[in-house]
Amino acid sequence: MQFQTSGFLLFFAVVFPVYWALRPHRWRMVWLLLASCAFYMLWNPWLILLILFSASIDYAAALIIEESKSPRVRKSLLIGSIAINLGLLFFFKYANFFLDNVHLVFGVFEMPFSRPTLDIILPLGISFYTFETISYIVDVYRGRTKAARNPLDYALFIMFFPHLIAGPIVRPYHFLPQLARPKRFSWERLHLGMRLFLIGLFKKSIIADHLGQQVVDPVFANPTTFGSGALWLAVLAYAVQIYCDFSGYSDMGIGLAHTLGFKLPVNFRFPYLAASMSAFWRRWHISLSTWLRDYLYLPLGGNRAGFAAACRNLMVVMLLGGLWHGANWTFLVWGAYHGFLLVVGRIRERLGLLTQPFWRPLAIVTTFLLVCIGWVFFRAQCLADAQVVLARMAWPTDGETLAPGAAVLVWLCLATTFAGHLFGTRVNLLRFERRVPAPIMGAALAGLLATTLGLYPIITRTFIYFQF
Amino acid sequence: MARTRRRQKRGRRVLLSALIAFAGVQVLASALLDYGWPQLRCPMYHLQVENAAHCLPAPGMICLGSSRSGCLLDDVTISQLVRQASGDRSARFFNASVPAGDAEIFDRMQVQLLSRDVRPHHALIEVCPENLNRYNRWLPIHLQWYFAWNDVPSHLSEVVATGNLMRLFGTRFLAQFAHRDAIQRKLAEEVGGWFAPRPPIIAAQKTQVPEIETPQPPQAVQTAPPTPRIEPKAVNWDRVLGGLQKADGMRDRELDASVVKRELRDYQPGGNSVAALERLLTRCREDGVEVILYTPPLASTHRACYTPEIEQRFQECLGRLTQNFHCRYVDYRQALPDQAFRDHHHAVEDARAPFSHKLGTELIVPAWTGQHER
Repeated sequence: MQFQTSGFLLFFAVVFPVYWALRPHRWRMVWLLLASCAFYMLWNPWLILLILFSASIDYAAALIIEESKSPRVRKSLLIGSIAINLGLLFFFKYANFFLDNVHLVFGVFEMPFSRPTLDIILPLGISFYTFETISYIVDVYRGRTKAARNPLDYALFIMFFPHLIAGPIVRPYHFLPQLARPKRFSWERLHLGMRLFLIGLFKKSIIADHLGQQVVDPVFANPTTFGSGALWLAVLAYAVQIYCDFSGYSDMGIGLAHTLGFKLPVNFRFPYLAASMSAFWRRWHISLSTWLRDYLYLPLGGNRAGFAAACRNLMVVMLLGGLWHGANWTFLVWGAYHGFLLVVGRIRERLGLLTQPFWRPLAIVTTFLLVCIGWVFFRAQCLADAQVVLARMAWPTDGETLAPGAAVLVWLCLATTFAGHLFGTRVNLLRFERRVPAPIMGAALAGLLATTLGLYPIITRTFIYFQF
Repeated sequence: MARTRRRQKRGRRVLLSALIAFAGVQVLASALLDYGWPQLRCPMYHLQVENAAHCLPAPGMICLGSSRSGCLLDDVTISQLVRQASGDRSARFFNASVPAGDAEIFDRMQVQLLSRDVRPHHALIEVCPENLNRYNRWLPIHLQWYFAWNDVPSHLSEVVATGNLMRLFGTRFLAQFAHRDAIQRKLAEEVGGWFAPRPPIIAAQKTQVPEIETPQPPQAVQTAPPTPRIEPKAVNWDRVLGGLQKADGMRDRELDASVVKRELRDYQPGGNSVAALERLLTRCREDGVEVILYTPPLASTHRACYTPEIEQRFQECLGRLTQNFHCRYVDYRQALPDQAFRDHHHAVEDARAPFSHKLGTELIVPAWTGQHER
């Protein structure tokens, strides 16, 4: 079930009033857990067993790790728990990719290999909840978080529906204490939550879906027929689409959590105004980049072991980060590309090149264009397609063009996105919102909702990050 | 504490204002779509009215039908037949069929046509058992395309009985969402394809209906004035029907007919549909319009849904109507083989010309010439 569908609105119309009607805090949490289970089971009733299995292992392992005094037992349990979680992730997400490549390698050496056919359904949100369970077990091992005593609390940490499918990836030390605090209904938070939800809905349904349908999908379905202009426009459109799609989903999730009295971490902070690749990753999918930093980059040694080791660690982290997005070489290349750019950025900083404020506007534009080039790998069906797109972007080539209306749509959406970025960075939104009179604010919300409904696509599309 | 209370109050005021403003905008939007720009919701209906009003020569016979008749009756073929038979070079048959057209829609269309001074001497009106049922199976489409605020009181009980309350609520109180397809289509037309999920139903440019070749005696060729050219916007029924393919015909015939069967449960002619048909026939009688009621061809799976009880009630109803309003009824349900259908009730394009010829020869020409003799 997706947040932007009428089915979800009906679901939430039941969950929300019942949640606040229940008085005892524990009952509310049980109700939320039941709702979250139902939310997941409406997609596939059986695969919830996988989450429950994974959560049960971590729950039990964390309790034993916390109780145990033996470092060996603690470490074995940590490794075992991580191995099970990653094993499940590997099986469901990467098994076919792995077999394909083994088959390819055997083929190169002309060795016989009968590739087994695995008809595997990718469980929704597996990449997200696997990282959450890993962060939980590692934090308990490090003593940063206390193990959850109540299995319902732990289950809700993993399954809380606003973040279950596509994040933000919540941390146990951030979320578990919220489960213990009794909730009090707040009109202010309801307003904040609904506002965020509406903004997210607008980004996803109006900007991302229309761009995808009118521009990105037709071009990337057959890039060889399009000329350079159309391809550039499609890549710019995809940059806006993926931002609005994913940040829209995050806004909706964060907004929903607010209406229920929870706070989820911010996932995007105006990423296209980043002046370097490292700044981009501090603003884009923040919950993933901080996770990769805390649980991969720093354990690998971070930048403690010298410049070369830091560069190596960056490459490893970005390669794995790329692979996390999907079982395809395109994602791996995308990760490598970003790793390379991060390393180049490090070298630039070390040499003190172009670091003056004077260069900042140029740096923002350059970073944005470099990110756009990276999106080609992310969006292309295969590396060959990515190569075609990049070659035609680099060298003026004739071919089909986009309709003038579609081109205007791209520029309009791009301008809206950058205007939103500039407004968000220049203005303190909370303070600004409080200065606006309530009726005007209400009318603005109504206007936003009415516009969203009027332009809502006829055919809704799944969130891009659902596939991850 | 005071600050928290102030913020709480503000949050409540913002949400309340948003709710009031949103409800106001939606009611206003639905009223505007009903009375300001009704052509936005169902452009085909308004196009047909416009075409009929501007049709030259003025149509002597008009067909009020649904998409079944829409995709089946060819104006040009039938007009040509009538001209050949009657020698009247200005004879014109006009197919004013609209999607989901039934007695209720024909009734309001006739009112509009009369107000535009379109007064044919003959009317061919499509009737089917399911469209005379007291619970109309096309009610959801009517709510979406045709009904306005003033239709709500008379149809509320039918809406509730048929489980369409949510749809009614949607079209009245979430008008922008319910009619977003139409809004986006219009936007696409205006600003050049920004939000065009599907191509427009109606061809963008005017298309010419080929001049009808009427056999004339040699001397008449020189003296007769040239036949006026008719230039309506073309209604592309293939596109209206969503590009249903012949290959899917069998599967669709079976799937959709089961829906018809379900909707024919507790069949009882009456309600708003029959009342609308009676109003229409009364107006025709008063205006001296000769009416032929006809049932268009249907696939066997569709026909099989009419049990003997249903058929008996339908015939009783028709018998009463034909007797009271002095009109004829002709049944063409079995006129086409199953292969001629793309689903359970829409014929393929190939069937259009032969069936138009058949209907023209058997029904329309005799009716027309009878009128002239009279």
